[in-house]
Amino acid sequence: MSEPGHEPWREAMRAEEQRRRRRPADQRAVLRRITITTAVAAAGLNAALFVQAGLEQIGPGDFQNLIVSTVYGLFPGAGLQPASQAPTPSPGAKAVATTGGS
Amino acid sequence: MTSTNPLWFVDRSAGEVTVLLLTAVLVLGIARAGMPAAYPFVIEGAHRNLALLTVVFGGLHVVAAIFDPYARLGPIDVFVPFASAYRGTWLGLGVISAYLYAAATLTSWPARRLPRSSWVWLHRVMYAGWLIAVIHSLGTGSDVRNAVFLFLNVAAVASALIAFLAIRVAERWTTSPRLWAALAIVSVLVTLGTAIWAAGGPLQPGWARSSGTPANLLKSP
Repeated sequence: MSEPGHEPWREAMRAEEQRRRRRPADQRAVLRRITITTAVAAAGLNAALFVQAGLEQIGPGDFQNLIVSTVYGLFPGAGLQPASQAPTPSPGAKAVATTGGS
Repeated sequence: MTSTNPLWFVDRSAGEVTVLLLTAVLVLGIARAGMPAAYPFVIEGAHRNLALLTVVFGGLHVVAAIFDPYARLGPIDVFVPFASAYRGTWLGLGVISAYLYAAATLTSWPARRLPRSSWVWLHRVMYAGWLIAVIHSLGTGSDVRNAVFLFLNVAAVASALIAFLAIRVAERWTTSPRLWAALAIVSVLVTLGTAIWAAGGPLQPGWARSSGTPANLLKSP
């Protein structure tokens, strides 16, 4: 005969109760994962569609220039310059005259 | 004339992401209403969190539209329906959809603020709000003919229709078959009607002109 309080059905009930108590925490983790994954996916898709819309409308070259000039406008010290700007000679460099090729 | 301002592309990409998130919120809402016993905490929580995420991307869409110099939209254009000179009808639908969405969100979050029956009816109006948002995206969107955007729009409409028929109609079918059969037919007809309108309108060349783009923004022929 099993001791009172240690019957199999009591054990099963206790396990079920513990499982039920654990459920909200598990579900909270699932919900957090769903939310974070969706937020990251939405941000990534936004970036991808931004590029797609730009490439489709103004072409790869102009779109690259647009990105570079935007970064340059926002962070002038970042070292990026739009391709439309001619490179500036380093201080002290002698200008070299070039002629068109034959 | 073509805009080369990054805000123009941010506006368009955020608008598309907003439509997709809105669709996900709608599908989760349908799942919550149609399968009340299935993971209520997760589905309701995801419905609420994604609804708030939709506000973030919708907000980005609106802010980018205001500050982008290409379409020259101002606060009045994005807050007063049909006031815009740029594709006024189609932009106005976006404004109406945003108001419906704001009403549904503000009466539900952080706590329900209406009697249950009014709240349920206001939430049901979001079926129309979602459809209006899709029509706004097709009518105003400059990327309707872009294959990626088109695929995403078709996927969004298909998933909303499938969720409605497979979850909501299937669950309520036994309670009043005539009503739900009628609603199923209406949903299919509305989807077909939207597809036929899109094929004959926004997907056709020359839509930019006929949708009400100001003459100074149209590309020279």
